[in-house]
Amino acid sequence: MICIIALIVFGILGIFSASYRKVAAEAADCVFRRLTLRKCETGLDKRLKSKISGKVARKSPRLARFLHKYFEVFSWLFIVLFILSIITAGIGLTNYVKYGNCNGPENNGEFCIFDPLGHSSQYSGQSMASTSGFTMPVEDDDPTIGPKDAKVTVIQFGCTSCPFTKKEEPELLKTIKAFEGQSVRFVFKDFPIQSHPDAYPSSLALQCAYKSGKYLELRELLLNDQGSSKDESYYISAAENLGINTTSFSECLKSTQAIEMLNKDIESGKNAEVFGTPTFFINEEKMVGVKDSSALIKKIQKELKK
Amino acid sequence: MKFNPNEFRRDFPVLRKGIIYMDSSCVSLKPEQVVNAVTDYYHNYPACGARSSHRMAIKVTETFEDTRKTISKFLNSKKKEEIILTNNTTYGINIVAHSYEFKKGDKVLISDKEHNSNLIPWQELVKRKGIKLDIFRFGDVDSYSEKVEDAKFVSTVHTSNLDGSSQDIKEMVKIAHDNGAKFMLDGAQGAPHKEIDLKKLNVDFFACSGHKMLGPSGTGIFYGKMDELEKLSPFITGGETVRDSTYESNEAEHIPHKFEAGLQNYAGVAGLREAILYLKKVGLKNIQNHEVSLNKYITERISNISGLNILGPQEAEKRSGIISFTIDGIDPHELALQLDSTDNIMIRSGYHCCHSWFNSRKILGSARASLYLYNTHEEADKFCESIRTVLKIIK
Repeated sequence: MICIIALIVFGILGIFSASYRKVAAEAADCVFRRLTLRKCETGLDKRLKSKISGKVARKSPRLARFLHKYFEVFSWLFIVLFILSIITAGIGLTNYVKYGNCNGPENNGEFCIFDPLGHSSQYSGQSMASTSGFTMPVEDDDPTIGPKDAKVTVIQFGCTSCPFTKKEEPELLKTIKAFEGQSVRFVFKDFPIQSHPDAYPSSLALQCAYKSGKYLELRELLLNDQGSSKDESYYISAAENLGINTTSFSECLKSTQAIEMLNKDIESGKNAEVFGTPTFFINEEKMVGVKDSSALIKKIQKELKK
Repeated sequence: MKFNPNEFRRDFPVLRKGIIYMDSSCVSLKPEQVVNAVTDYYHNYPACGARSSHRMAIKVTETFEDTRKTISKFLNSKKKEEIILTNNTTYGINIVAHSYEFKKGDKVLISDKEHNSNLIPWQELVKRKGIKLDIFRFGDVDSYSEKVEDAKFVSTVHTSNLDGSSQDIKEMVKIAHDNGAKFMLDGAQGAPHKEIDLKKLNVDFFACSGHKMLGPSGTGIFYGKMDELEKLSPFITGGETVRDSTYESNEAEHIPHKFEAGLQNYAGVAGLREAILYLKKVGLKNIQNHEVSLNKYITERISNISGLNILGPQEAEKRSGIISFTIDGIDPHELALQLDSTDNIMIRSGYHCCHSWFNSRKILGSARASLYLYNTHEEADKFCESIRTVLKIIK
């Protein structure tokens, strides 16, 4: 069994050094023979066994004896670990291609070998709910900036409790400013990430602020105050500071209408296979994570030229 | 003066790598003098011998013939022309097997401990010419005497590479000659370790290898009494084996050149000369005594290892510098590999090209340590200690 491991290890080393190619070829011959139910005649397994236990014996004869005795078991163990590693690496790679993060949609800021600096995984994520199929999101009684008949529609799914949505905000504002008076419409949809505290009540409060025409103001306030704990009185106080009628705001928070509005946003995100915030849809192109204003502008300009 | 291997060890560059080399029966290490002689040829006179007449060619011819003379003195042959330079022992035996006039029904006698090199050529003659091949028990004079009576030819080994035991060649040659048989001696394991006096031994043919006696690989010595060589017709012919040729015929060269076909291994031959001079300087008697002393030392220390069986005579002094052994339940290859990887000790394992002997006894090979002038008692200690360590790992 050690021949399989030897084939992989020396095969990789052989790419860089010719001295390992012969051993890799020997291992390949051995593996081929074993697969065709013949005996491995190269003696490579015995040589490797002796070499490894011999080196260990210089430090600890007892450990060398143990290793020698259970060499086949260790070989199998390594094979299993190797197969598991391959599967895990495959899953990681698939996740990276799909979500820009090898740990899957639930980005917890963990290290990803394919993206060691985390450039592609600047978003807060959660598992995607199973849907009947992908549906492109559309504007539906959402807060907007820009003309209704615009050539380019930019829909942002955001969460005011998400640090990446907060990080994106100045870039988004720059982008909005860059296209002032042009045929570009920005649409804001709320997509509260479950793992973030206060994400859902904050999103609900935003629906009520929208009804009072103060969506962007409350959004800015909440993004800038992510660290504090929030209860109902916090939202009412914030509404009061923004000049919103606190009685109707308070009623709205408890109303099914606000919940329905938010649920529509969430449902729209799920149908569009949104797994993290911020997520942009620029016309039909999806962009996940924090994006520089330059990247957004470039993309919008491209769409405008179409 | 007491023999001290440390005086010579510095001449063997490979020993500086911290290895313990105990596989000299297969190939010995080479002293710097031999390596220098080989490189000297390539650096300073890399030409062909016995053909061209320029300075470098003359130097090659002189070195080649000087080597022949040195070997002749070393083995004490009657004439230097009786020495033919070959590639190895196998080549020498094959010269006889293919050139001697064997007829259908002729009996060739060999021992039961022959190396494949002194078995396969005769088995081929059984197939091709219909000779009869008979086997006597190695070292058993009675078995030999009985079987040699109707033999035409005896070809046997001096010292067995299998277990280091030797035969009384002088006595065996006398018996063969008394019965009208010719005698060929395989000296591959004899010549490197003990003094060989071809005149005293009175063998008709003799072959040995240079690479087992400190010489370069691909060098060998073949000897034949002049009147016996004259009866042989070379089985490899071509360049340098003829004095003249027409489209129809050729005039053969004199002995020994007619047996040295094609361009020779001049670099190797130059190195072989240095190897022999080195052996003469150290003294074969000293080498033999040193090996036996080491063998006794090792035998005493390993013979009480449980399950260890020494092949051949149990007395170390009868086994030259060879300790061939098996350990119950242990694969000799695994033992050899483990000695190498654990303590850099290099020994041979397997059948040692004596498959016939092992197969007839249903023994799956042995581990073999073979000693030479550069091995020390400290190395012997390490070897014995290492066997015990390794057994703890693999048993």
